[in-house]
Order: sequence, then C-alpha cells, then structure tokens
Amino acid sequence: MKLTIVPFRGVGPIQFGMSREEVRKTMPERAEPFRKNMFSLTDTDDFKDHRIHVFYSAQDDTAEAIEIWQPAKPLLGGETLLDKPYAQLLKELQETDPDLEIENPGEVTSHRLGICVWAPTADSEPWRPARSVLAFAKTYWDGFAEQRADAVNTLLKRLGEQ
Amino acid sequence: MGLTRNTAGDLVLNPSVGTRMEDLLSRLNTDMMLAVGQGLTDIAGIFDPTPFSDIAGGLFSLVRGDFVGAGLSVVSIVPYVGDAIGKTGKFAKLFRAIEKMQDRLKSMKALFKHVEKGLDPATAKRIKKAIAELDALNQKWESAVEGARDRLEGLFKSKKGKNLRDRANARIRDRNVEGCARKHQRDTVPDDEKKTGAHKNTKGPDNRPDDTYAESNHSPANSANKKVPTDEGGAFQMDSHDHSRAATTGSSREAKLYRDVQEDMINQGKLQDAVDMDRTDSQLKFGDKYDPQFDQLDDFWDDAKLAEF
Repeated sequence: MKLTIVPFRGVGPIQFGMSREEVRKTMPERAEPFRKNMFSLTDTDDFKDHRIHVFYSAQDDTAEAIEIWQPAKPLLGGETLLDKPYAQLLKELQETDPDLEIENPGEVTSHRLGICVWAPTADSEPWRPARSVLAFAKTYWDGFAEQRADAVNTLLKRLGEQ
Repeated sequence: MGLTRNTAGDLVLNPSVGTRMEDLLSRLNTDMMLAVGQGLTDIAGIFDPTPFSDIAGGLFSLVRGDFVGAGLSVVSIVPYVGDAIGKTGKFAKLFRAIEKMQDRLKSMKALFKHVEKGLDPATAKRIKKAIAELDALNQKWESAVEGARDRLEGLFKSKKGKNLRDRANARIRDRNVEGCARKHQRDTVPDDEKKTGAHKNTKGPDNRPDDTYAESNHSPANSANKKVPTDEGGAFQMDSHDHSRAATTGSSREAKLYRDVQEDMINQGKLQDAVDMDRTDSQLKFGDKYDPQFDQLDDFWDDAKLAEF
C-alpha cells in the first residue's frame, strides 16, 4: 500500500472526515485501538503492520490526524520522508515552506503542507531519519493554544460535555 | 494544567479537579446504568422468539464489531442477512452510546492514575470506589456481549466446522504479505537484554552484531528535559512498536500536552514525578513489561548529578 500524503486530505486510502468504521474498512488489517495518554478523549486506531496511528475527533469520531511511524515509507510530493537524514528532510521542507515552525529540535510543523515531523534526538543525531510524520486535517490544531494553557481543566470540561 | 502553587511555591493540584471528577463519574454512572440496563434486555431479546427484523438487527450489530473491523462486511460472510436489515439494527445506536461511555470511563481512569497522588486521600478513595463501580458495570456489559457473540458465532460455523472469523482473518493475513511495513522490520531485542541508562548507551539500533533492534526511549521526554543534553538523558530500550504507542512520542496533540506537563514538573524540580507519569502510562499499556527498566531508570536519575548539566 502506498502511503501518499495529500495535504489536508489524507494518507493513502484514509481520508480525513472518514468515520472509524470507514477507516477500518479501507485498511487490509485489523485495528488495535489504544489510548495514547491521559489527554486522549477517544481511542486511537493502531494499524500495526502498516505502522499507522489514526486519531479521531472526540466530537464525531471521524479521522482528523494520521501518524506514520518508521519503518513505513510515507511519500509527499513523490519524496519519501522517513528514510533520509532528518537534516536533509528539514532542508527540503524549509525550501517548500519557509514558515515552517520548529518548536523544539526535531519537532517541526508545516501548516502549509499539513504535516508534523517528529525526530526526538535531532540535535544529537541529525543524520538519523525522523521517527514519525503526522498528517493532519485543517481544523486539527484549532483551539490548541488555549487547551495547552490549561490542559487538565480543559480535559475535564470536555469530558463533561461528552 | 489544573496545577497551582502553594505558599511554599510548590506545584500542587487544584482541589477543584477532584470535585469535578466526582461529579463527572456520578453522571457517568447514571448514564451507564440506564444504557447497560437497556442493552442487557435487548441482548436477552435476541435469543427470544421475536420478529425477524429485530433478530437480524441484533446479529448485525453484535457481529459487526468483529467482521467489519477485520475489513469484511457481514453481508459478504452471511449473505442471507440482508444489507437493508443490517443497516437498521437498533443495536448499533445503543452500542455507539455505550462505547462513548466506555471512552469517558477510560479517560477518567487514565486521568485519575496520574493525579491520584495529588488529591486528598478521602477524595481519592471516593473516586477509586466510583471507578470500581463503573468497572463492574462495564464488565457486566462486556460479558453479556461476549456471551451473545459466542452464541452467534456458533450459528455461523462453516460446513467444515471452521469458524468463519478465523478464515476471514487468515485471508487478511495473506493479503498483508505485500505492501506492509512489517517486511521492513527486524527482530526486536529480547526483553532481558534491553538496556537502561544514558541515551548515548541505549541508542543506535545498528550497533548490535545480530542485527536485532530496539529504540531508545527517553524518560522523561527529551524535549521536556531541556537542561540535560540528549545523549546524557535517562533512557531505556523499547520495542519499536511499543515506543510508537508511548504517551510521550510523536506529534499528536495529546503527546504535546503530555510533554508540556512533564516540562512543567521538571522545571519545578519534580523530575522523578515526571518519570512516574511514564511508568504509570507504561503499566496501563504494557503491564509490567518495562518495570525493570523503570526501576533502573529511578536509580539512574537518583545518581545523576543534575546540577552539572
């Protein structure tokens, strides 16, 4: 299966906005749902053989982000992302998106390309490929700054609204 | 994150967090009692002589969790259960509602695990009791569904006696031979050989002569622990797949929020509490698999001369 990222649309056969059931139907392996951490409001689907995690909206249970992990080989614009040195990938991304956000070394977000790259040891090992790429839907980061300012209370508030 | 400072300047949990959790759990208990009660009655109705559409709707809903999840439709497996009948199954709605409640319960349990030590003991005890009651209710529901599923699967045995679900899964495994990431994966390092220590000694999947593989996982997260250089930070080796599921890893919203909390804690000198968060998360996902590594990590951080960084 080719894991081609189409910005703000999806990855391979998985499209943002698909229901959990639709996503599971498109994949040729069974999902292993898990809870990423205490801030997750709903289960993430883990497609282990393809190294794909699909994150769903807590409101309507539709796909809103897809994270692809090594050793999978996601493609963007015909280029592979996870089998080249992080330093090289960063350079290529900066050429495409000069507004690239680098929050910490190895934590990169491109709002133009609709992806985040995670390379946790990029400062000491820039020659290693990134560990994961997350493709996200247009609204995925909406309200995140506020959520970040008061994470636990926001979590409780949202649990109360469910 | 619901944290405030006390008069000594230490970071403590806002007392309102406990009260709000109790309210939410009480509401959840009421909702779940009603829904599970209805569900148990409906399940009992499946095996009673009732109109055909009710039976078919129930079959569809109960079986879909297995077969649709496996990438097949019930209709393709059981052609005589018509598509139109399946789509009107009244169970589907109830199942979704209960799944939502199970989601809420999971969230509350995960949150409680992480904030338990920060709550006053009486509140923590009440919350624990409320969670135990909900767990029991949930268990009752899961057992009823499992029992019904077993009875239904008995109806769907093929002529050769092989379970149709097993056959479907075998077909899917065959399809997975091509085009999946697994073919790029190497054998993982055995559990008892997984190393713990400074990242410089645990990193590097390519340094093992037998070509086995593990990933070095910082605990607490490397980006949350800014004073300690990446190579000097405490870490241990994990299976690559487990590493991807860990609370701290990746770019999702929840991973970033979790790392923020760890950074807050470390800035307040509570590095060990941040490691404990990871241990709790690991136990929730992987049981005691990484407990030896966390024990060694505790020693590593006890011995670390943080002031020198």
